[in-house]
Amino acid sequence: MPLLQLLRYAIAKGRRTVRYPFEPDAPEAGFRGKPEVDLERCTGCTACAPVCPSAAITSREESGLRVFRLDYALCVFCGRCEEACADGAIRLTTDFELAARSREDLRVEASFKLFVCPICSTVLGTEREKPKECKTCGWTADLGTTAQ
Amino acid sequence: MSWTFIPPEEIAARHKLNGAIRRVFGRSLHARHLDAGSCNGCDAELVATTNPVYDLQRLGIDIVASPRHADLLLVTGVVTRNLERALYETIRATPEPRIVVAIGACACSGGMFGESYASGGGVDRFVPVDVYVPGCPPRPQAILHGLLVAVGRAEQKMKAVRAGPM
Repeated sequence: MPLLQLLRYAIAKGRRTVRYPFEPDAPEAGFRGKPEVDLERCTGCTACAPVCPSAAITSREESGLRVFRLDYALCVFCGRCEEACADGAIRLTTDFELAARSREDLRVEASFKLFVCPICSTVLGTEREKPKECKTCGWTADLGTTAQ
Repeated sequence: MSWTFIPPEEIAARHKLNGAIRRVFGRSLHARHLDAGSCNGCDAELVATTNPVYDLQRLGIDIVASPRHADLLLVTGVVTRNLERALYETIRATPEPRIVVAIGACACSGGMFGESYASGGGVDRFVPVDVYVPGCPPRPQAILHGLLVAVGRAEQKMKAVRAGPM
């Protein structure tokens, strides 16, 4: 009686259709969803930019600022930025409801003030990174930040 | 018989959604899938939305066989050079006011493929896109969410059409 077995199986298993739009849906553990940046913890080192395979994370320097940009439209949710981040500022969440009406809504931008060497004025990083030394002219942090 | 039980709140929510779709379109929402050079990842997820687990039809949305029957176009893939013309012809065959939904990272922006001699770098380089659904590929639930966002966008467009020519 395979049909009877099938019926019994179907009744035992119950309803399989998800209730998604009417009830929130929790993805499985380990699901890689929207990467979120904690701008309080981020130092602006942009170690995440070169490891991003689809160039969703980019950084550029303009007028004393380093501008970090994350574009969810380009992101392939691989999680390499999470691995590269030393400060634990970028995290993949399980959020998947990313649909938006414009590309601008899918962008996250933040700017960080650049730290310039007080002696030779080479860009050493951002102010939040607190650079210790300059390899070009030999300046170190114990010399102070006032120009000689 | 717990396997047929649907809680009353869900039934009320379904009626509300069906009411919104009916108010906007005067019938159920018909979508047409267009592959513009995708890797088939998004297409597989899109097919999954019509299976018994995700069941797109319970929301009053259906995938039809011709763009001439469709209110909404679901475009997947970077627009490759070979399929650029197919995209334009499908858009021309879809009656106005149409909604274009870009599904997946490639359709949204070019994704992994970016822009090159053969890859167009996103649907919005060629035709205006109303809703972007990022993900590589997006989950079937994410596609459902994108379609619900599109229903809201359609409401705005229909109002503009009914108000008269621009």
